[in-house]
Amino acid sequence: MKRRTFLHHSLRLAPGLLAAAPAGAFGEASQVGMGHVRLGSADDPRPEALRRALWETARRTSIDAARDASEVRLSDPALFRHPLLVMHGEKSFAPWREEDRARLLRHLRFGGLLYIDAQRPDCGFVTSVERELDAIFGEALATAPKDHVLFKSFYLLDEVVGRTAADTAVRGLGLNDQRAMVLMTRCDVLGALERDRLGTWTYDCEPGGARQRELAIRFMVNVMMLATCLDYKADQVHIPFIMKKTRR
Amino acid sequence: MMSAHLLHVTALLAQQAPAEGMVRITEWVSLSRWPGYALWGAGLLLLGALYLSYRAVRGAPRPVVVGLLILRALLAGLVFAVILEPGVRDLDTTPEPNLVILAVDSSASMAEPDGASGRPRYDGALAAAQALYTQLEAQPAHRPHLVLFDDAVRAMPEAPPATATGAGTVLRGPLETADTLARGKLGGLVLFTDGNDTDGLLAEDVQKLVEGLQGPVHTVLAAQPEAFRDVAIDRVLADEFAFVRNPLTFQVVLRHRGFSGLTLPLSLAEDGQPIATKQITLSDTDETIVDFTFEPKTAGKHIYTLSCPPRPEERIVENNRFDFAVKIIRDRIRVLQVAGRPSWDERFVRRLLKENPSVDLISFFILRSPSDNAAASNQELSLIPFPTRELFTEQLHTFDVVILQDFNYRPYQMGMYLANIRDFVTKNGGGLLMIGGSLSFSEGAYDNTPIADILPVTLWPGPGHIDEERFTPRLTKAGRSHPITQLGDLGRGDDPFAQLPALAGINLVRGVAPGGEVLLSHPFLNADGEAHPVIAVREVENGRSMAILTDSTWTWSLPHVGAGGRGDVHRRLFANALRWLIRDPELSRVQVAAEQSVAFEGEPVDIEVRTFDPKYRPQGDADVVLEVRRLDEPGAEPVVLRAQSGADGTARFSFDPPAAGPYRVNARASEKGPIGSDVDAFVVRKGSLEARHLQPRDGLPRALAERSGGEVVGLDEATSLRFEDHERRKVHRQSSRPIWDQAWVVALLCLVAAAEWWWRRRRGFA
Repeated sequence: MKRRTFLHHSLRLAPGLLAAAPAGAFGEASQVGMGHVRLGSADDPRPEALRRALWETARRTSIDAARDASEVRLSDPALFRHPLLVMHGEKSFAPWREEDRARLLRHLRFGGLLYIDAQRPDCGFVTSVERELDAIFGEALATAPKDHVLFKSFYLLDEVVGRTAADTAVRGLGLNDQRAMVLMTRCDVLGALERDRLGTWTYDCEPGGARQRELAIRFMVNVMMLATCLDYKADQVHIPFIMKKTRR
Repeated sequence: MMSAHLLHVTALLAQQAPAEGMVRITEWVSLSRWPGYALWGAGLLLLGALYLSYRAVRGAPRPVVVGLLILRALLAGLVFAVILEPGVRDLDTTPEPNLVILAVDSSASMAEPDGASGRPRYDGALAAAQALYTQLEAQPAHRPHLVLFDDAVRAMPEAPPATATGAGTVLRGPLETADTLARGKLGGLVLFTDGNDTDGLLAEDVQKLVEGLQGPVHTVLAAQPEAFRDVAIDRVLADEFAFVRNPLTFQVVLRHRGFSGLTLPLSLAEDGQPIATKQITLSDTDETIVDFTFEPKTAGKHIYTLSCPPRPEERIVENNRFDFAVKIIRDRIRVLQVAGRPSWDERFVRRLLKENPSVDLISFFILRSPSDNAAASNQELSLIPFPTRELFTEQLHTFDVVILQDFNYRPYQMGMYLANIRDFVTKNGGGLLMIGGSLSFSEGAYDNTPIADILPVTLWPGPGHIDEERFTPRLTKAGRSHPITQLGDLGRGDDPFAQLPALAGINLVRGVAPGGEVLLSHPFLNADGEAHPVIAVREVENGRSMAILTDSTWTWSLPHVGAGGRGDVHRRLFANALRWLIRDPELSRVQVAAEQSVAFEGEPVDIEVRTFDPKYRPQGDADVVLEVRRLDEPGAEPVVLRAQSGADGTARFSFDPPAAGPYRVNARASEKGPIGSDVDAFVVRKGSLEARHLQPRDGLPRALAERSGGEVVGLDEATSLRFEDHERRKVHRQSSRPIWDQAWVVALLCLVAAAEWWWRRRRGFA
């Protein structure tokens, strides 16, 4: 008997050990995570939100989600290991280097998705983001229509809400493609998901309270689904079912 | 030389017999050498002169006017007669017989029994023609002339051929010959035939052929259609190519006699496998046209066989079957992608499939497993039921490739459908691709299932067979020449896969299945004493399967781009895989083509095999083996031919089909190892159209008779036929005598002139 065969058979003797193994036991490399793009040295204002988003995704869907997001910088070679990049913030930031802009453009053109969450519609972060996207793509962000696949990739949603409901629209680039390249919300979706180490929600969601927080979580799940399944829910086979549900 | 003119008046003056059989005919002619218009002019001048003379005397008493006009008209007539130079021509003639052509059909169908006496039609026709010939020979008004015709017309030799063997029946031939020989004075044309034209002559087109003959076209039917009962699939009107899964409609033309109103099954088989049957009812005419529609399932050149069961009363059963070839090509590759969960691997596979314009993708992803808690009602979710029954029973045959990606079938009660997937591959020729992950291969409990029977790897029982370590796969010897792992200009060096990002984790398997081939192997893990497969393929009966034992090939996409590589390596690998799974002929490094899709018995079939090296340049010096086998005799030994490809990569063969029927050609080539294989097909039909047209037909003969005043009769009525007599005569000698240069003519002329002068002077005119 070969060594490996012996090991396998020995392991199977442990009752239920392998049978009880979680479905996502293929290794961390196969898990669906996200790259948290850090832009400066300041502290992360939403340190737990992405972990929460991944946890909720793993709990609610069949996605084998990673435990936490990986922090990356635009200059980091590991940037391309993360098809889904997330940026969030409130304050403005300095213009990016040309090579960083080029790397981000290359990432998005070859299949990546950048999700940007601003805490307020009128904050400096939004201005900086729009400046950089304009420099990279040369076009302004468009508003996602109500029937965009983002609003039906898992949950059926009408709009996006986060910690606030100040701006319920989703803007983006490449929205007509089978995938979106850039998505931006301006209602602090990640703020709604932020919890402290004891499990208490850090911020209140206004004006909708708990229901609004649930909708923010659902939106993040939909973002994860869009990142992994692209426009799957826009396939013809789904349309009659979805239309039937939305009519009720 | 005297010539006849427009103004001459021919009259039969007398007939006498200067010699035996000779008849003298005497006729008035004009011997004038003046051209016709001059004579007309002279006549008009004389009439003008008469009119002027009338005007000059019209005031005179009536008797004077009348007398002068009579004398002057007589004078003018005499002058005109002198100008006309009248004469008499004597012709010594004999009657000329009218040509009657007796055309005997010597095509192969005339070798068939006539249906009444049992003797060959040709024998009866020849005897009847000879009897009629003898009868006509005794009639001076007709001259018989015997010819043979099939696909050409020729004079009847002194010793007529003993049997009829002509390759076709062209009824147009004797009609054109009659027109040429008789020059419009035909006594008649008699066709001794079974009426089975193979030249496509239509009844509505015969008018043009008979209108110049001026004689009847009779037909002596060598066999009575009523005595001949047969159903024949005469021809199929189909395009040379069609598309996979698109309706292919073709027209089937059946010729039949004696079975009007009969309902019978018409069956269609593809490469010998029955695929459809249609009940048809034969029409009241001798031809029934049926539309047949079906959807071809697989690409490639297929031989289709139409057949209807022979009836006991039928004279010929061979023509109840018709083989024809149609090249089926695919418009788009239909792919069913089933993924057990959303993942980066699934995402990049879906993306490349969606962006491939030649792929029609249907995806089903399991977005929520039974253990997941979506915290929402179904109404708030966009989820739809997974239509397992519809997909894997009703619709499975509509796909070319099924991809099971990190998918465990058990939670969806799919065990009962796994055999369908196996049959989809083995029988329908579909392709199966299983992609790894924690729900795939042994983790998906596929061991000891119908899927395991067709995978290129053998599975461990139960779950727990995963290795998470990162690795860079190695290209195997087979992989170096396999079309799936040809990255072309995207790869560098001997092993372009060594330069790609490392893969993360692998599904472990027991080994390689019989017939399986490993294209990429693990650098340090073994299976069954060999390097552990990472990508393996297998040909399983009619279909193909492929296993990718990892869920991380997506790292050859975006992460590879981040490392400075090109983004289309992952895309190229899967595009190659799809084309290989569907047996895309363009991907084959061996391509075989029979020169003709339809050949005729007795003719050699030229077959060309082209071989290519891994970079698709012509591969010279390859050993090429050609196997040709009959499709309708599955157990028969194939004919094996061997050759070596030349510098242009081509090997040429000439195959002599031993008999009519459908044939499939399988070509294999090797050069320091296998290069590949390819298949083609062709049909060999019986000698000619003539061989299929055996039943007597009277449609065309009746049309000819109706339009030419002829008749259609049986063999024993041939001598009762009537023919045209144009009463043509042959002139042996002729002589002409002028009558105007006689003295009495001059005297008469002078006398009339003098009388006119005397009468005019007496009445006081100048």
